[in-house]
Amino acid sequence: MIRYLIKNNIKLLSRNIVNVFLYIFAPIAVMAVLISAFSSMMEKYEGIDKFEVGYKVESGSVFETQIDNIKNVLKEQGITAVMIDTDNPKECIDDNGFGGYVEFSKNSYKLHLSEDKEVEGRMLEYIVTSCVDEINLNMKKANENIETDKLGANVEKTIADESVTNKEFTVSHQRHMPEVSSTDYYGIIWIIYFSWCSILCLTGIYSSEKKHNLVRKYRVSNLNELQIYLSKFIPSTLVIMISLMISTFISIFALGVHWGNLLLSFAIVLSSSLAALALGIMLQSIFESFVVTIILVFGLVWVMGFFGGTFETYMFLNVSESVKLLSPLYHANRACVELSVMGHSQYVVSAISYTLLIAFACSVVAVCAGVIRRRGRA
Amino acid sequence: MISIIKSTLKVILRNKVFWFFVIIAPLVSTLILNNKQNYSSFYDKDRREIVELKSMEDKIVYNGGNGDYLIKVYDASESKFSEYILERLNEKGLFKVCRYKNSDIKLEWVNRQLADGDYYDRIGTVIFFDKDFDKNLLEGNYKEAIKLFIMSDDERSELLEYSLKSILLEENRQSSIKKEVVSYVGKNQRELTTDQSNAKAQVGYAFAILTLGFLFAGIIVSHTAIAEQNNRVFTRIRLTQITEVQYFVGKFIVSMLASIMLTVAMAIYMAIFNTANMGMSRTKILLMILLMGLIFSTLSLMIGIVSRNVMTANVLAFLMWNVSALLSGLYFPLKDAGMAIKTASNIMPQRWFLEATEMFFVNDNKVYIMLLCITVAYLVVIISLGGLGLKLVKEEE
Repeated sequence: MIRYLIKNNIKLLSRNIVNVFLYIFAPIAVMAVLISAFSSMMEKYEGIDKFEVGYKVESGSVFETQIDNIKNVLKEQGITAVMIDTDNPKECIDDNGFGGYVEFSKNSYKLHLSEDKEVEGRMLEYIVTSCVDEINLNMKKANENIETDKLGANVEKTIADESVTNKEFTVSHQRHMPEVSSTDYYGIIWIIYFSWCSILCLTGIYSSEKKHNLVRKYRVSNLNELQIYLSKFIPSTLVIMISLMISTFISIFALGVHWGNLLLSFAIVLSSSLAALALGIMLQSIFESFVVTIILVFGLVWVMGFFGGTFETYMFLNVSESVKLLSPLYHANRACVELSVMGHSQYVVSAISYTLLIAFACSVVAVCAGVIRRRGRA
Repeated sequence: MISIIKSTLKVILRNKVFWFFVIIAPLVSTLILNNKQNYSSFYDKDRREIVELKSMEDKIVYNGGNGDYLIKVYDASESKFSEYILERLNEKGLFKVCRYKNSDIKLEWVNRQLADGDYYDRIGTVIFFDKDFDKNLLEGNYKEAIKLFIMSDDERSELLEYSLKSILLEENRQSSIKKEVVSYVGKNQRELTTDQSNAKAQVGYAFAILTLGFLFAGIIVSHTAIAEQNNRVFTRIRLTQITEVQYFVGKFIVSMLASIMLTVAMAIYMAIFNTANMGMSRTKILLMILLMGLIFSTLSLMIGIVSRNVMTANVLAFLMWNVSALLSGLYFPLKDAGMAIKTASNIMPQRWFLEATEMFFVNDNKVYIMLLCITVAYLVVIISLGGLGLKLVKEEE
C-alpha cells in the first residue's frame, strides 16, 4: 500500500510540472539578480594591466619642466601618457579607451576620470597626486632656500629619498577571510535557500488530497501515521533532490559558480531540504491548511535567511554571532561558502547535524499530530 | 453593486487571516520605521570625503566597490594632525578612508575587533592612532604612533605605507597647486545624507512588509470571488440585474477598502508609537503606502480571479512579493547591477515608490504627479490584463 502511495505521489509531483520548473529556475533567476547587484562591491582587486592616459600641458605652467619626470613615474607603473590637445576630455577618454585624462594648467591640474575605468582612474589619480605633492615639496624647499635653480629637482630622486623610507611603523599582517566573489556567494546561497522552500513542490499532493478528500480516507485505511508521513516525505525528497541537482548544475555551467567540494556541499543542501520538508509537513498536519503552512514556512525561512546571510552576506551582516548561529541557514551557508573559498569548513558538521535534528524532530511531531488527530476523531 | 460590496466585506471581515495581515503587517512596518539603525549598504559610495563611522563594528565594505582599497581607521588621538594625515591620504584618490573617532579606544578593543568583525569585512588595512599619537609623533617615535594592521594580500598596501611616510615628510604643507577631479557617467543625481540613506533603507524594508500585507488582502478578496464561482453563487448573481462588470467593480472596491484599512492601521500605529524623523511627514509616507496598496491589492485580486485557484494564487503572490521586492531594490541598492536587471527593476512598482521617497527627501514637488501617474498606469495595466486573462479563461471553458 505504501509503495503504491509513494508511486502515486511521485506521479502527482512530477505532473505538477509548473511547480517543478519554478523550483528549478526560480533560484537561478534570483541568483542572477543578486550576483549582478553585488558584483562590483564584492569584486577582488586583481592588479591593473598596462593602460594609456591622455594629457595636455599649458605653456608657462609649473608642470612644463616636470612633465617628463611625471611621465617616467607613470611608465614605471605601466601607464603610458600620450600628449593630446582636446577640448572634450570625455570624448577623448571614450574614443581612445584611456584610463583618464589630465589637464596641467598654470597653477592647477584637472583629472578627468571615467567610471568605466574606475580602477585605472584611481591609480592614475594616486600617481599624479603623489608626483604633484613631490613637486610642491621641492618648490617649497626651493623657496625656503631661495635657490631657484633647484626648482627642476628630479621627482624620481625625491621618491627614492632615504628619509622617506627611514620612517618605520608597527606593521602586522592579520588573518582575514579570503574574498568571495558575488557569483560564488549568491550562486551557492540561493540553492540552499530554495532547498528550504521545498514545501512548494508538495502543492500537487495536497491539492489532490483536498480534492478527493483523501485525509478522511486515509484514516479508515490500514495505513498508520508514519506510513502516511513517509508516503509524502520520500517522493518529495526524490523530486526535490533531482530538481536541486539540475539547478546546481545550471548554476555551475551557466553562471560559473565554484562549489569547491561539490559532494559535501550537496549533502548539506540535501539535509537542509529534508529539514524543510519535515517542517512543512509538520505544519500542514498541525494546521491542516496549506495556505497557513505556506505563509508560516516562507515567513520562517525568510527570517532565518535574513539572519543567516541569504540577502545580505553573512560576512557583512551586522548581527551578533549568537543570533546568526540560531539560524540553520547560517550553518549551511557558511559551510558551503567556506568549502568553496577555503576548501574546508568547521561548519560542515554543525550544518548537517542541525538540519538532520530539525528533520527528525519535525517528523516526530508531524506523526504525533496525525496520531492525536486520528484518535480525537475516531 | 452595493449589496456585493456589503456581502464581500462581511466575508473578509470574518476571515482571521485577513485580520492577521491588517494587524501584523502595519505593526511590523511601524516598528521597522521606529528602529533607527545604520543601513550602510545604501550609502552613496561615490563620495570622496572621509567616511565617518558611527560605531566600531560598522562594516566598511559598502563604501567601496570595483576593488577599491578601503582603510578603516580607529582614531583615539583627537588630534588635528591625525585629521590632516587622513585628509591627505584620502586626497590621493587611491584609498578610501573610513574612520571611527573615539578617545576611549584601546589596543585590546582593536585586537578583538580585528579578529571578530574585521575578519569578515573587506578591508585593505586597519590603522590605529592611540591616545598618545601626537606626543609619539613629535618625538619621532613612529612605531608607537602609527600601527598598521594589513588585512589583505593586496599589493597596494605597500603604496599606503609609502604614502603615509611621504605625508609625514612634508609636514604642514601649504599647497600652491590646485587639484580638481571630474568624474564622468552615472553620478547619482540626488545626493542623500547618511541619515536620509538610513531612512530610505528603513522605508524600503517597511514597504516590503506592507507589500506582503496588501498582496494577501487582495488574495483574500479574490478568494471570495473564487468561492462564489465554485458555489455557483456567481451564476445566480448574474441572473439578477447585476452585470459581470458591476460584480468585478464591486470586488475591486472591496480590495480598495482593504488597502485603506491597512493604511489606517498603519496611521494608528504610527500615532501610537510616535514615529518621527523619517525625513518626511507622516501624511506623505501614508499617501505612498495607500497608493502602493491600491496597486498590489488589485494585482493579487486579478491573479486570484484569473487563476481561479487559491493555492496557485497564494504561491504566485508569494513569488511576486519575493521577486518584486528584490528587483525593486527594497533590500539593497541596484546601482551597480547590469542593464537587464535595471530594466527589470524599472517595471517593479516599489522601485518608483523608493524613487518618490528620495524625491520627498529633497523636496522635489514633481513627486505628486509622478506618484499619481505611476499608480494610474499600473492600475490600468493590471485591470486590462486581468480583463483579458478572464476573457481567455472563459473562452477555454
